[in-house]
Amino acid sequence: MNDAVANTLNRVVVGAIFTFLWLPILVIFVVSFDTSTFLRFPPEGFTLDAYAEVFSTPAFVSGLWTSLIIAVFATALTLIVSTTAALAFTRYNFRGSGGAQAFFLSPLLVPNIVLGLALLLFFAPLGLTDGYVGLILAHVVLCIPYAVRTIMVSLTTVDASSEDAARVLGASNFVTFRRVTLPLIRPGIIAGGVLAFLVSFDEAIVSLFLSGFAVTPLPVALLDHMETQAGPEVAALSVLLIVFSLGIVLIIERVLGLSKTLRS
Amino acid sequence: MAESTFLQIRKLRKEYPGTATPAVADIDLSVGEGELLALLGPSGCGKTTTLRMIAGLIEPTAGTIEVGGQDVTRIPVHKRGMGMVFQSFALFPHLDVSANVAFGLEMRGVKAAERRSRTTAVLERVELGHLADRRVGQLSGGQQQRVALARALVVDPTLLLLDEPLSALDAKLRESLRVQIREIQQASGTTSVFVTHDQDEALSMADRVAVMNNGIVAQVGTPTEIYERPASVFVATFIGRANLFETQQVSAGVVDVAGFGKLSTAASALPLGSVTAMIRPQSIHLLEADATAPELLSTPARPVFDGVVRSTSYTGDQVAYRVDVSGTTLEVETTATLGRILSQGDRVRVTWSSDDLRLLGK
Amino acid sequence: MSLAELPTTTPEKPRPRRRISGVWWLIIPGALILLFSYLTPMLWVVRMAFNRFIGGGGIELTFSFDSFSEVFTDPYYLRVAGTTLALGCWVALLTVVVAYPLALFLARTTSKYKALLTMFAIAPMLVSSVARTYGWMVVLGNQGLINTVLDSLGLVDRPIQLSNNFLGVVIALVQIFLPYAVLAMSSGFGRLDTNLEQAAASLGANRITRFVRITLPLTLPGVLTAALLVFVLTISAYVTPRLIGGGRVFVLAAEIYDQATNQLNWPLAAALSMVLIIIFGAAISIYQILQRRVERRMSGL
Repeated sequence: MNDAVANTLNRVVVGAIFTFLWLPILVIFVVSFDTSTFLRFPPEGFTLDAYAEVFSTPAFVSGLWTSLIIAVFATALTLIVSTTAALAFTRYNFRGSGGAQAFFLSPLLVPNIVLGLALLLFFAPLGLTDGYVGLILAHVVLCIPYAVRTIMVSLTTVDASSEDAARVLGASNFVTFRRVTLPLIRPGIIAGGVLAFLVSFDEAIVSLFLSGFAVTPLPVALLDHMETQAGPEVAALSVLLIVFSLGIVLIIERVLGLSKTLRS
Repeated sequence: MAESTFLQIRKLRKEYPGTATPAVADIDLSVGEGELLALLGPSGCGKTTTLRMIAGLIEPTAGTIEVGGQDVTRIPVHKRGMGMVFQSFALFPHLDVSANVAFGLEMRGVKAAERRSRTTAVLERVELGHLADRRVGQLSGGQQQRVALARALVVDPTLLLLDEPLSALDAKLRESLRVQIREIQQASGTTSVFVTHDQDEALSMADRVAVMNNGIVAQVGTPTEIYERPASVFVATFIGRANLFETQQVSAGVVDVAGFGKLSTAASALPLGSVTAMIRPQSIHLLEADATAPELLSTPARPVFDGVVRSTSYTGDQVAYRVDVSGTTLEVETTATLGRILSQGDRVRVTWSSDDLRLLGK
Repeated sequence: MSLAELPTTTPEKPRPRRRISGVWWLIIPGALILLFSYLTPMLWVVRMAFNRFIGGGGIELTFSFDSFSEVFTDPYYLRVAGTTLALGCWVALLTVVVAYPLALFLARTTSKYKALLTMFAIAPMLVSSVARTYGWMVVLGNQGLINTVLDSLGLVDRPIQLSNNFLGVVIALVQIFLPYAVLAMSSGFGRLDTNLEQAAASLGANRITRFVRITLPLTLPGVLTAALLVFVLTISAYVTPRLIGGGRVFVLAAEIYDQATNQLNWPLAAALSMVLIIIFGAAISIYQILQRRVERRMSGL
């Protein structure tokens, strides 16, 4: 086998894998504009009816609001506790640091289905299911590992001696954090916040256990809907979710990329 | 020196958990008002730990630090009113040059107008007035370090602490900044402690040098004292180069060195018995092998020996020779402008003044 | 600031290690949340597995192995566990096989679009798994993309069954976890030095020898990590088996959910979770043994 043949073969294989990866996503886009109300391919005609239907389906609209409220609060809470914890893990040497770090990162290792069950069993007697408090707390658990890791990376790349310099110049620990550390790790905190927001916004399984009639986040509402119907409105909603997620990531990349060029 | 003591360190000690030997072991140091003391030593000798304890960035295990007669050992770092310059410059990358410099003034609640005038003044002093609005990332290394110096000086610090301030810069820049830092320090009269592993830096900038090794102070003295009268083998070999002889002191000021016989040395308080004798390569003089002038006769105060040049290394202003004298190789340094340059195999005579042959303890 | 302004009183007692105890205040807020909504519930679910279900949603607080013996004696639950295990193995194997050429390509390419291509390989992670599952329902369905294409080419007279079965779930999960596998592999492919392969080529090794002797051993740790990650994600997957399985593919995750919310048999749901955790633990142990063996062989080279 000569190099040219091998390279062509390599390209064909990689191209096929990319196609496999993006096929279902592209198909969703196509179906979302279909006039047929059944799950079928190819589409029969072009219409935006499906998008209109998304916004006239009460379960979707209220689910979207519910998800946004949960994601905003969960992200805020996650960032507060993760930033302080990451600060402790990177700036102080203390007995138990390794164990505490492992504890903060460990929710990542627990299958969501088990965590969901555990939260249902523990929260139900306390009256915390089917309410915002329980869902937000559950989402914070899922988000903490991502945020802690991202912020820790950002803290280790900041030169700790600029914090020392601020202290010698008369800044207390808190002032040093607010005036020096926080501005320097802001990109890490934003990245951690975006990750937390996306994790919370997309979380289906744990939410499934904790939501009932009163409070239903969007992924759960979508799953319930798909039990009975799977027409183009599902595709339209999926497209909106994709655009939303990618949009956030692109905006952040743009903003952070911009700040990076400013700093260097 | 007549100045009164401004910084007094007593029995300062730092132990880290899990390590067998202390990083700093009960050191005593005093620095006079307006003086610049260099802490010189190899990496890991405890010099930076000492400096960070003075700053308040590290809590000592034991001992006290007094500044201007006041015990500051338990005062937190941000209330000590010191200025510090770091090896990595440690400028605030999110602030521009003048905001960096004004930071300490802001922490002290200095009014905006005064902040501006003091910042402008200090930037002029380090010749960076024209760059006040730049972001620090746009400055060269040397400019960044001058901003760091201005930032530390603008607050009129009680003490100026410099932690390897020049080692992140290239050689040319280092030399010019040495002079500049020294001038600014002398003009402001700020008592300063300077950490370095570079002996040239320490000798050329400091009023006094404290040589540290393994957490203790091996010797404190003026640069000439340290260089010419090292107190130990460590100091002699760490600073400059030295010819060392393991030998016996047979009577006061006389040693018996294999191949050289009995040699007179500078006066020493060391007891008789096993000692190390040391002579600097610059203290050994070379003579033509056939020199017969009467003043070149060997005397106890000026011994003369025959030797053969083994190797020559020419560096422009200096020539370093290795000369074999009855089985021992001596390092000899001469200024290149004097006389001809000898080459390998040339026969020479070597001589020195007995005052330059010094006895060292361990 | 002059010295006169400095506080002149020295505290009578030296503060012993204030920083050491103070640092815990930074950790406590997060630790409290994790304690309340993670650690305690996890311990509670373990305890729940030993309670007894007395019908009608009633639970007897006791210490019995009833739920466990039900799981391990009822052929139905054994079959569900078997399906879950098989699904995990198939998806892990196929995902690794598909992800490997892509990860290798991304690690080696010198294209100026490398960053863009990498983003294209990872970005589907950001797409909701519910949405991607829906996409596969459209592709694999009886009137879906594949069957329509095959039908119009006259290759089949009846739609081939690609959804509502095990095969459909495998296909969808492979695609859903592909970006995770690529990420896990790429981080391990850092050791891949193209100089090594060129050196081997200069020594006369042909393409296949080079791959088997140089590339594969160097990338094996990353491959193992990716396989473990995908296995673990697969055995706890709920959405895709439920939607694409169409009620015909029974996995532990779906059974746990059903027992907990429909049958209200919490002890059984907890016991099934323990089975999942045990499979999980076994997978991690096997991974560690394999990884150590690979490392030892590499350092022995």
